[in-house]
Amino acid sequence: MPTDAVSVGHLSEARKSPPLLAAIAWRNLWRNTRRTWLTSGGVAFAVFLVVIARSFQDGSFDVMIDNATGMLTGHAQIQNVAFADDPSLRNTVADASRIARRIAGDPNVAAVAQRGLAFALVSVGERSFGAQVMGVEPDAERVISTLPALVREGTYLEKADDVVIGAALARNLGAHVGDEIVVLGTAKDGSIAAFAGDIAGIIDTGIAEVERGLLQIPLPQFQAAFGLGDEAHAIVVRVHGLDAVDAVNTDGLGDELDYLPWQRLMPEIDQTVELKRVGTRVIFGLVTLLVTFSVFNTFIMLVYERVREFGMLLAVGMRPRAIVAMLELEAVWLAVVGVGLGLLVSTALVLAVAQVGIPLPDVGEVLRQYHLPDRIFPSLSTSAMVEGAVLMCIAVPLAGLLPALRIVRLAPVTALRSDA
Amino acid sequence: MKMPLILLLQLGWRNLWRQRRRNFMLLAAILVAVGGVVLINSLIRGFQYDMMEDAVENLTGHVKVLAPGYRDDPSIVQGFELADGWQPSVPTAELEGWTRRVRVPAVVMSERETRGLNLVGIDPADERDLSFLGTVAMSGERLRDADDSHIVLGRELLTQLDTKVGRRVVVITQGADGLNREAGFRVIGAFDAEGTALEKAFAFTGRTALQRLLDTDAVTEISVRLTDDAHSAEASAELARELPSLQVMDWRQLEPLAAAMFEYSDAAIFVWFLIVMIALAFGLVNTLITAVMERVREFGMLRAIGMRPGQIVLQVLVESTLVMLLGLGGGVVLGMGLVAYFADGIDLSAWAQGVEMAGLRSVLVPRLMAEDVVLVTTLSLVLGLLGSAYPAWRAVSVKPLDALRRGT
Repeated sequence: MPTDAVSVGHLSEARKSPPLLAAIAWRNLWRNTRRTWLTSGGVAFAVFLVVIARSFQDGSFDVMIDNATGMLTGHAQIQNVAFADDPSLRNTVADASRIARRIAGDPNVAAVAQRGLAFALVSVGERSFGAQVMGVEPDAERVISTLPALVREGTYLEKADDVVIGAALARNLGAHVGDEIVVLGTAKDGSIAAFAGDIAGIIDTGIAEVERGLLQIPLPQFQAAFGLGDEAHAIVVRVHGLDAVDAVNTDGLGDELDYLPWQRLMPEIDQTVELKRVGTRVIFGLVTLLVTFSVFNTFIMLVYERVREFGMLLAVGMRPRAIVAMLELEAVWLAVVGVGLGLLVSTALVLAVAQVGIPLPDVGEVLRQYHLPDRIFPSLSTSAMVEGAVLMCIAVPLAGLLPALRIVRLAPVTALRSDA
Repeated sequence: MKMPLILLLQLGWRNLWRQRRRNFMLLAAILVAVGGVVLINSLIRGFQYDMMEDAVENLTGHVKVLAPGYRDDPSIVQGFELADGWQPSVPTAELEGWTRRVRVPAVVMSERETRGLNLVGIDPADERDLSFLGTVAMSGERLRDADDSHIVLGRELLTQLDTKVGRRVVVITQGADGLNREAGFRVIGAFDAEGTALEKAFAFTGRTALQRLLDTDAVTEISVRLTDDAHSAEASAELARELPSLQVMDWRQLEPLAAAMFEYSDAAIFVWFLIVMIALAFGLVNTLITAVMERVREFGMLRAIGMRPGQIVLQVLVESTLVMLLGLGGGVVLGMGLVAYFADGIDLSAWAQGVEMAGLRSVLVPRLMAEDVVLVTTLSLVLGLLGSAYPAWRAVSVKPLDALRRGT
């Protein structure tokens, strides 16, 4: 066969020159075009799969984290160390305004808001419901939280006796904008805490769970009603970019206070991301295993078919090791073709879809409850590209190695006589 | 020349053994793919049914009857009365159990703290087969009967209220006349729902005791649990006929999140199967094509001595189907073995909150369903036949003379 002649003819040089061996391997690869495309197609599919899956996940995770932290929680909070386990009125951040000013001075921090939190009985007319009463700084909230922008009727907090409530709570209370509302609870010293105000606005988040117990009043009125001094329960921090959340200087907060990044405030979001990544890994692992089997089989067939060729190469003095090296180079080329193809197709697809986004089916509150947008835009995951490429470039030559090693045991004469 | 199928089978079987290393690898790949798919399917099914059961057990039932205004204004004002001796008109064979409840929003206060929740008046005996209350772990005592005027709280809520079993709490809620009622309840038990939101959302007392406090004979809901979700639509229709003035909803409408995830799981099973099978197909087609191309001379010879093209196609198909069947059989056994190995469940508690948000339980138990195995097997066989179509076509597309002349 003419192709055999190429490899034999350059044999002496091949031993000295690896680039030549690589060139021969490249040509050998294309002696069976169909098989090469099928095998590298499997590799490409695996790479394609992991890049696409991760790009879509990363795209939706970014938005999910943004939506979840943006509504109310913020990127981080400073709380009394006891507050996380026991969210009671007495576990406050003392000197709240001083600490808020200090954190606001950090270059990583975009905005800071103090909040007071207490559970109380809320009444309009004869009707009463329990609600989480929140004392807020209206101007700071407008920057840090999306709730002020979600006021459906009326306005957000403007005057001292203004109150805003969630739409579900308003429905349950039978309350409307302008109605008088009374908040009754227990103050820090155990006495009765009372506050009366007018409903200035109704917030509609679309998440019944959030707005059923949502009520905000200005912070000074909250502190006065619940017997607090310059105290708050949370200092909410928004940073420039999620990565900056760990860069905020929290020295000097003391033992009393804790700086909680969003991963600790909303562990469910972080863990959902993690859980989905694990799921993707399992599937990708299975697909990789299948592709490895396919490569393994390709090399069994390839070695079997070329026994005569290898016998000839051995007979004219090529070392078995060099032949194995040549086969391994073929495997590397195979991986390179497959990985290249997979990266090319997946990148093109992700970039194209990123222009328009993929609409998610509307299933009522489900998307909002998961903090998901109605359309997801994949963001090309470079880490998945690297991971997929590296894994395949290891797995493919490894799968080819075992069949290739048979060459070492090959006796040239029997090999030449083989009728395959 | 006629060839009986049995002969083709014999030939095919022997041909497989001519290349045992290669065919063994192909077999192994099919084994792993099918085994993996069976396990993944079972895990998704486990998740799916856990989620449905949780949705049904969280006081929802398969079907619920409410007053039309209750969902917007969940108070006793939106209650309804049931005739004495009323029974849901669902065939008893399909009925797991049913109950009536009074569920109203309430504020609970201890000496130190105040929290809002849903106060539910129950018939403890009914709940046993109906909701999570039947199986949930409790400290202290359970409610005795519908007349029991003690209160049972969630463990987490008890901590937040800074109180203990045996102490008293004050409950404020709205009565049937729209005015507030305030009453003291002694806490006799705390339920442990594994830290889920249920612990903070619900408190329980006897139904008639709560009705006395609210000055009413009305209830706010009827909850019906069926032996199988398949009967839900029928039972809903039946109840809607029987109680035309009320709103009948099944769990899919009441828990749209769980229902959406349920549908999504059906699709997910198919998608995962397809992905794994595509990955397998590359290797399958590759091996089959080689097997055919190596034997072009052989096929040419067979054609020359009178074997029909159709019979050659059949022979290639028989060989690939044999490998596929072996792989499928082994793969299903492997998958069942894996399911049995994980029968105690996979511990996901490292992601506890994420797991709860996704509607999962902290231990995921795979659930093997016969129809999934049938689906996987059938689709795999179809895929195997499709994968061997091109190789089979190649086997007959070479003219006998050309084939015989070929070097290899």
